[in-house]
Amino acid sequence: MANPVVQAVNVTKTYNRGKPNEVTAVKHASLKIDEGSLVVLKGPSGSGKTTLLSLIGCQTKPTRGEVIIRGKKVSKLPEKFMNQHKRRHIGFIFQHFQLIAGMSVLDNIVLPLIPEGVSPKARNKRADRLLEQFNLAHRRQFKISSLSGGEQQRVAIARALINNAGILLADEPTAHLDSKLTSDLLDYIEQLKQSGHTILITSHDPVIYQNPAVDRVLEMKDGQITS
Amino acid sequence: MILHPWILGLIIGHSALLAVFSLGVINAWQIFRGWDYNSTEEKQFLLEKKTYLVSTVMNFALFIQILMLFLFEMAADELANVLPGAMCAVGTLSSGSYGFPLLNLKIVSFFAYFIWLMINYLDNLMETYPLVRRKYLGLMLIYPLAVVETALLFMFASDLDPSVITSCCGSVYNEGTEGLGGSLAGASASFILPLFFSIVILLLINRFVLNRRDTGRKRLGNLLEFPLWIAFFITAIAVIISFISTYVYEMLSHKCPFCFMGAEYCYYGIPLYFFLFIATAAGMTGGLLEMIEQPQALKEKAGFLQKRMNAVSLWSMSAFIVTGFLPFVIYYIKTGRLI
Repeated sequence: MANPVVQAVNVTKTYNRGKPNEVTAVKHASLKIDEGSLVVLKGPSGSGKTTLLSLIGCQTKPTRGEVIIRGKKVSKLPEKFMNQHKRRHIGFIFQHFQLIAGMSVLDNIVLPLIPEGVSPKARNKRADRLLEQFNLAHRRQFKISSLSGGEQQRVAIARALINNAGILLADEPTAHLDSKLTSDLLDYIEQLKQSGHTILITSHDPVIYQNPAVDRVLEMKDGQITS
Repeated sequence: MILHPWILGLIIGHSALLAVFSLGVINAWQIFRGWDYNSTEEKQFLLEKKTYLVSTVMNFALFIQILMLFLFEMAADELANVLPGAMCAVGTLSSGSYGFPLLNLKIVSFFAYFIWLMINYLDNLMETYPLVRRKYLGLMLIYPLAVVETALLFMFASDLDPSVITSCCGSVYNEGTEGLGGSLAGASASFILPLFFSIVILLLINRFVLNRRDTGRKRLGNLLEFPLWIAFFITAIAVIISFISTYVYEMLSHKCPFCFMGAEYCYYGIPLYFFLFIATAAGMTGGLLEMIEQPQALKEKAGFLQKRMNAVSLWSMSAFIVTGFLPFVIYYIKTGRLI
């Protein structure tokens, strides 16, 4: 029987509680994701996909309910322990990559290892392995601002993998990519799945959710998981 | 006198801290009442957010409150310049009825705040907030100290009168004077030194014999630390007044526990009191940590912190003894005489 590594139990997230602009982005959402599976969360814009991903990715805490990552109730953890758990178990690829433009490729990639106290030598060793894997070795000391969109995408993936996290979350990763880069991204994701990573992607791009490598597609509407 | 810059500074500082403390206590009460760690309801998530905020704010407030003890001593010393008859902080403190009670309360508060900060530190090391209810109960229990401190400060300030001649340290700490100061100054070294070193030896026996035995005795040993450190602190103050001061001032009649904190005596008293307060606070905390038994993960962290506190207390006690008896040793080497 497969082992669920990610669980959301009756999770609700409300922003601006008690104010006129109060919004409940996620309502009583529950899901289980098994180890090594590739799951896509699809739905129209504003359906709560990104919020649910942020909750699972420990970017924010729920208003009620529980998020459990690798058996630990992360939503109940104090901030510093939640961040620690996030750094150790989750890699995140953001919609706009969120790389630091003025820093080099290497410095961007090793960034998540700094709060973990990994030595500079060990950080660079791990980064070099990923730079080779993603064909970025020749861009090691280049500033992010001088890279192409495809290269930036690969840097973002490398950064998400640097902490050896088994869980990879990607928020609309193809939203700003052309068909060639989308296809490249799918190749990388398939490779990561083959290597045992658990992957959750939010997307409303059919190229993603109709891909044969996808194990499950969950649909969200008005903050609720409908299928 | 209430508009004197030092007094004004102290009053504003204390009032601001009391306001922060009051807000902290209101929130502490809400957390204490509503806390249910296993709940996944909104109320519990709000309390979890709140406890982080309250704990951070109270860390800051109590740390500043601790520093206020030293600020108060500096203020008392500075105010001696405007009070006729006063030579040092003692003159300021004895000019009304509230000076010494305020100082004594501040010393008690110092230890209470220190212990709370350590318990808070321990709780923040854990993932599951195991000490939340106990630490906020503790916060509510020590809150009256801050209230009374602030009230006493107001009374002390309004009681200061520069037209009234006050007593100097020479008369307060004189064996011929009635009261605690006179009794301490008049206490015989042949009585107070054996008493002090008996407590030091008891602490060492407790630490190196009882604490190294089986679990039952170790627990007893740790629980004994708390009263032993209180006794250590009280007797150390008596030793400072009746014995150490004689060799610092090299005068038989001058027994002031404040004058040697000034530049004239190379700020000798500052490290002396620093070691004494740290040794006592760490020792008391180490003893109290023994009472933490559940859950196991917390007990382990508490044990680790206890070891550190015990080491700090022992080293600080040694530093206090070395610093305290150094003037005596120097005097003996210089003169070849004990007195």
